[in-house]
Amino acid sequence: MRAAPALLLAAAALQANAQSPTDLAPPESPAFTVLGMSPQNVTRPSSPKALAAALLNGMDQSGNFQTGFAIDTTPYLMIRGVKVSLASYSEHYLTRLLARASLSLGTTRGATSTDKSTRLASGLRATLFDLGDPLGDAQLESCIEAAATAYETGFVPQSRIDSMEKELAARESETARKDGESDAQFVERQLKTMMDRRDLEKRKAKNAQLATKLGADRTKCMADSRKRNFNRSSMVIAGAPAWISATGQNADMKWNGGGAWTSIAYGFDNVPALRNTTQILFEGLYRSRETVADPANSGQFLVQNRAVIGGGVRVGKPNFQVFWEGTYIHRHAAGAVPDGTFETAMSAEARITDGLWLNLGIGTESGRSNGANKLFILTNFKWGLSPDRTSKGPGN
Amino acid sequence: MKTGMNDIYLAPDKEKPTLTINMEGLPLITYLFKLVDGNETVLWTHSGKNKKGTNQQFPLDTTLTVPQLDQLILELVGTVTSLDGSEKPYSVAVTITQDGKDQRMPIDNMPDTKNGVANYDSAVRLCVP
Repeated sequence: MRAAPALLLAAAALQANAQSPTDLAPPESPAFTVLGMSPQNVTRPSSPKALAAALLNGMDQSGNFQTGFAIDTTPYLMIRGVKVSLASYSEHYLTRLLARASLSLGTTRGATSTDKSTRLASGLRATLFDLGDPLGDAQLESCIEAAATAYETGFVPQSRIDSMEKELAARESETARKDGESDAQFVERQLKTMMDRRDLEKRKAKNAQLATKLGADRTKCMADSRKRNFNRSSMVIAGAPAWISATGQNADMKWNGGGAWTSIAYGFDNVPALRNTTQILFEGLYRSRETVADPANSGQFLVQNRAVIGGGVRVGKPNFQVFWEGTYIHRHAAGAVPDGTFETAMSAEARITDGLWLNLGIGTESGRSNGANKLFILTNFKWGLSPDRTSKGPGN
Repeated sequence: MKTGMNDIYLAPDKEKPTLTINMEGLPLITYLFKLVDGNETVLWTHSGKNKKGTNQQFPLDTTLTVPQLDQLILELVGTVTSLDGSEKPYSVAVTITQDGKDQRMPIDNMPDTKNGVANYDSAVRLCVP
């Protein structure tokens, strides 16, 4: 593990996303997927974060230790930024498609004598639909509106409070009787000033109460949204070209084929007993001209095409989920007979703090024709945050 | 009377003023406009949400008279919430238009919308030119 980048990323995530209440786990990086370095073969098709990064460590399917780093962005939102309104997002499919398209860049490096290669991939991922997208959550919108209405109805603008305070202070300073003012009028005026002071203090106290309640109500709206949305139905398609340097030297970097895949999740959206806990997923992937370490010849590489089809079930809550998957992988290396293996894997994903997630996966394969079945273990730190919009809005 | 609030000048014999809210980006903004007189009587309200971003318009739908305009205050209280937890900065701008002339309603209390949530409020005194 390269500790320094990991700590920097964790610190950045903590700082940038400290109260992000719709903090859901970023999906697997397309770059890691095409490099075969995701803890899961079956990836989650949820909407991407505007900016996400992942650090990866572990033993890959060839039994070699790998480290990796990937960064994902949503370029449309980065470029268009404040020009995309909530209305256009919710009403226009093309806007959603563009806004949820993510661009990924990832690299992995072998850390053993049998595999010192550096792999590089850039991926493009499009979310065709996602029922768990918080930007399309009508219940969240209604919840926030209800909280806002209660606040807006009772809150007195600060400039009015300041104005009242100024006017009242002037009256309070008039402690002497005015010319021609009777005793009764003087007492009545003083009494009214005192009553107005009491009313003003009540307004100030009510303002503070309303602001506090709004914050609590809004946080609850967001928390409820997370529970509703973390495992909804969704679908993505993705593709990624890849490059490899078998020696690990930049000068030896060359094209290494690419991959395309689709992933579909069903979140039991209309099944009350399962909709807040369970999700089943399916994935199909084709990877061409993949250079991998030859398990039979140490230090050698072979080029293969790989097809993966599989499914899995994810169970848990927004902050912790376990995932089981079963996949069939068909490999056809140049000059070799096609080989097929079955892989099963278990993984767990936990939210460490806002924006920061740890994913640990362990799996094994069976059915290799040469009997060289492997155990693989991968850990993946992921963090994701929404964009820090640096452009100023119309009020600035 | 000098209130310390900003002044917006309206003419009762001209067309009805139009309020325009501008907002950029993906957050949901909500607002409540309230027109009150010197006795705190509410003469008109308009509440809603703005998802369309720019140029959400509606008329200040009340009949204004010269005596009224000596003591009317237009209040605005609202919220900004980014549904996906997006970060700062977001802001709201309000203009009041009458006979093609725009006057900006300053947002007095527009705190930093860090973490995608903010409350804002403003109040202006309506006056005769």
